Amino acid sequence: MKKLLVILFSIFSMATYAQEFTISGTLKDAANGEDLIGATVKVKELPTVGAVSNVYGFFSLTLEKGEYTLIFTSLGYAPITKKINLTKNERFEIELTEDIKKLKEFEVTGEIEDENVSSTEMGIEKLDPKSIEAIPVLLGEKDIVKTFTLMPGIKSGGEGNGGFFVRGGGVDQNLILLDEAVVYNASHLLGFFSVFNSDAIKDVSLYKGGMPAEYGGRGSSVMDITMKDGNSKKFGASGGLGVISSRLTLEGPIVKDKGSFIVSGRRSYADLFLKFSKDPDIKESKLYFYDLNLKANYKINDKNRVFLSGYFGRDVLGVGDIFGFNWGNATGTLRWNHLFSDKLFSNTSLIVSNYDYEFKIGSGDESFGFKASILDYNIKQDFSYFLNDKNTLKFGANMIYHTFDPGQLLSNIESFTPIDLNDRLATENAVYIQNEQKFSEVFSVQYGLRYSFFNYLGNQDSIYDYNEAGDVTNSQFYNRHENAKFYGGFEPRIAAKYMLDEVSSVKASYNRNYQYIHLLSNATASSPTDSWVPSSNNVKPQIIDQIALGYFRNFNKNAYEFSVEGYYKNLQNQIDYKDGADLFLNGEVERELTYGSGIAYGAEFYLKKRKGKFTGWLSYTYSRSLRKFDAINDGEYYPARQDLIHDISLVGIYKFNEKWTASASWVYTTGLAVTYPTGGYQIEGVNVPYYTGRNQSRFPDYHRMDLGVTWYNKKTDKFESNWNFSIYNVYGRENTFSINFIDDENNPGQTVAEQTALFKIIPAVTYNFKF
Amino acid sequence: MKNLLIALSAIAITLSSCRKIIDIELEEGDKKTVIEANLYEGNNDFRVKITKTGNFFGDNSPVIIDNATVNLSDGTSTFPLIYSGNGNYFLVGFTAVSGTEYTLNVDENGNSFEAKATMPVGVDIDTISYAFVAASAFNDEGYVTQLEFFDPGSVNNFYRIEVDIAGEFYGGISDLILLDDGFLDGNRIEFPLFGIDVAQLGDNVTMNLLTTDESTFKYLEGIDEVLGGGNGAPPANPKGNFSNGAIGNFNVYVKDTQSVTITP
Repeated sequence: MKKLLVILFSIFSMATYAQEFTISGTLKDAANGEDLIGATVKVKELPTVGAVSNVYGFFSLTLEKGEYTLIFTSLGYAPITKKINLTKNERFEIELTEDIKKLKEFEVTGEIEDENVSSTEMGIEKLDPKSIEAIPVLLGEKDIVKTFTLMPGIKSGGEGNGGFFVRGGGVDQNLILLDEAVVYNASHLLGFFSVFNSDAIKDVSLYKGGMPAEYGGRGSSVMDITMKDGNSKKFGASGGLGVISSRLTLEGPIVKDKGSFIVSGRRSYADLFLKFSKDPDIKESKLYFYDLNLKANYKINDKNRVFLSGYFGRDVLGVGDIFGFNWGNATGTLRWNHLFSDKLFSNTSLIVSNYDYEFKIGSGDESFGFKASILDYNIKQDFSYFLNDKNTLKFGANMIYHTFDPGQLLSNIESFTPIDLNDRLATENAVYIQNEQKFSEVFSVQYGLRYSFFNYLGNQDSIYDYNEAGDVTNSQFYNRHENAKFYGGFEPRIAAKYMLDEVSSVKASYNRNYQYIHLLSNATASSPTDSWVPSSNNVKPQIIDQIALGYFRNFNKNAYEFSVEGYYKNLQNQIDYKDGADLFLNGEVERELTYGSGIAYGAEFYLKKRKGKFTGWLSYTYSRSLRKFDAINDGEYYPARQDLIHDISLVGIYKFNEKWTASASWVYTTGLAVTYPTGGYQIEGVNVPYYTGRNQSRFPDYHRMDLGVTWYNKKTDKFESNWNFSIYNVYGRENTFSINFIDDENNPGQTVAEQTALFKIIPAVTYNFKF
Repeated sequence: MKNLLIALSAIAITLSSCRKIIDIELEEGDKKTVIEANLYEGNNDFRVKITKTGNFFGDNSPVIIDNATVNLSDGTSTFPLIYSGNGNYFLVGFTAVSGTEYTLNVDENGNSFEAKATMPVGVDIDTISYAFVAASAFNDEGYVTQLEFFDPGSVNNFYRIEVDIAGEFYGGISDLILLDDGFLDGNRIEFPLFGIDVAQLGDNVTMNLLTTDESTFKYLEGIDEVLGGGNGAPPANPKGNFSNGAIGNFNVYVKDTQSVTITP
């Protein structure tokens, strides 16, 4: 701590011994007024000096008095050069124009193109929806989460399983933020699609390691998604018609160049086909999802700007009127940007996140309904202080108030006593400070410290302590909001970069993450009914440490990127169920839990071709993820379900001409680790499987190839459109969804393994338009 | 919960799916002793069957243990069971009484296994009712039968239900029907048998209400989960009450039976 203060003090004391002035402002897209994230300001006379725009397009750069040539640029945009004589603080609103020719060839200019080598961050993957347009996807629905799973170290949960795994972490260890609001369940239709409508998204970053101190709350990764602000120049509409769903986006200025809005909706309509069925129950069935993204912003003056954004999405399933099931997220974010000075940028956010699911079984006067939810209120204050060209400080604090409703069961049957499990309450808080410091032309460090703390609160009820056997050892009554248990801890974060030469660098990072809320899954696969639980007197926060080391090298004037990263993670206080645990409507779910530890390690190789007619990448990951629980597998290490040892992704995109682009991707992954019987016995004449270890067997390996072709119609000023044709799983690989053990039809009494696969070859066509 | 997941998977699978038999490699496990023991209240023959675990795939006929020593004790006397072939040991004409704790001892090649269980107090069936239902996605047209009884209050009761509809038997080990009074303690319970085939006019329906203890109930739940593919939670061996790692459970039941013929 003392050391940190010394460092901070030395930063401030480095201040002005010469006369300095600040150049600040915003960088925008000239066509639609969208803020540009990660755009750069370079100084021609000082090649190592520069600034990068933040998520609101704001930049700030402090230089000594003098004459400079400033170059404003961003990936895929034509640079703008401005000569200035810096004798006072300057403010610029720069609008960059898309460099269409260069963008289409995936060719970019400026220093930024070696970002992978030169930035201090490591373990980060970035995508913008424009760049994934050509990659073939299931049913033609472009999807950022699916595209991320083609990157090294990020793995899909498999067909029919929601979520994704990052560096051996579980699905619940990913922090998914949409305009700062936590999205608790990022899957539609049991994982076939993510809840993120690409049309409404501007930018996505996924941190696999080396998370900056501003992020916290989950152990493995951060996926930070920024929604578009909407066109502040003119009204526009865009959309797409696909085989499974359609999309429509409307956007436009509220007051030209001062404020804009965007409304983007998407609905699937697979269930429309059910109407053609002769079976009345299928005819009456429902199976759809929808998303609605809304955002508006208004610039009050040069120093103040407000944003309001929201997301509403829902999945609805129903069979006749006898069974109904729906689930969804709702989030809202109100933000206020304020400039205290040219160097001090502030953002204040009020955020609401909700996830809930409900189902209904039975009809008429005999039905049961079940509901469960999680609701967060979050207040967040962040500051960026652009001290000088060597240091950028960020600091802030936030507080979340969680309400977990574990479930209520209602019925219209008179003799049935409704069950309503008491809400569980908690607050989750954090303060952080971080600095990105350039020590020299070749060496820079991003270092920070986060202190997070958590209060598990009473709610007019008794809280029980359980021992390892699940018996109550103590019971204590707490009033509403009375502190029942406190946890807190420091989370140091550090990432360093050293340039070996102009085209290569080595980077290292260490981070510690606390995770105070946990996902308990009713099934080995993730499902919408998985429940979030807080840390409590029985459940300790998960603590995850990660160290990573990487080598980055670009070839042929940044036409090729190569990187290799290795990591090692230590996971404390991991949670699993005791064998045979019953979770449904269990008010004492904590007695069914058992605690252990884990390790994960791996190496990720990545080679990308960024320029020319042919672009694409090859990624290979070797990784292991192991767990150790006293109560499971005789206390020996066993593979986590997501222990997918080998993972290969190959993506190729070929641009024939302005009209035609073709693409192909191939993925290969080791099968999921699963628990299978090792023997059998008979009880009352029935064969019963006998199990020994946990997760000692594997699903068959997963592999698949997809193809896609995009045909662009002639673009005019008013209208542009394209047709996308894709084939998912071209060679019809039957990848395992589940395996059941059944009686052999040919040899009664003997058992055989029957595999169910969900998809064979699936062709799709989508029409996209914009005007 | 389980039904919900099945319904979900059913919907997902009807979208497009393909099934086939595949070869998978399984590790060989250690051979464990398996003890099957069901003690019924009243005067009955008490049978214990002792086997070993075998292969999962291929030839999985049970390995029979014919040289064990098996004894049942009620706290005052000990009764030996006699081997009668095929792994079965018998105690003929034994009277088991509610409220008595019984101890079952099995000695097999120097390994000793013991389990204790207390015979619960039985609950009687009040009536079997039935109601006509139209055909739906879940059932054919016919009569849904319903078991009705009074659950005694302020005690935890555990039930297993067996049903015979016109010679078709439901509620065996592979399709267990289990019920506890967790949500319904002390109420009149009307338990509609939705999960099984409906009865038709003229069918004879016989139901057994088996009152059992917590250990038996949990063990049967474990069996149900392991056989049904469970609710997707990582499968595990059902936990029984035998010491020393034997598989199986010393089950105790009090049985009450009623029959009815379906009339319009």
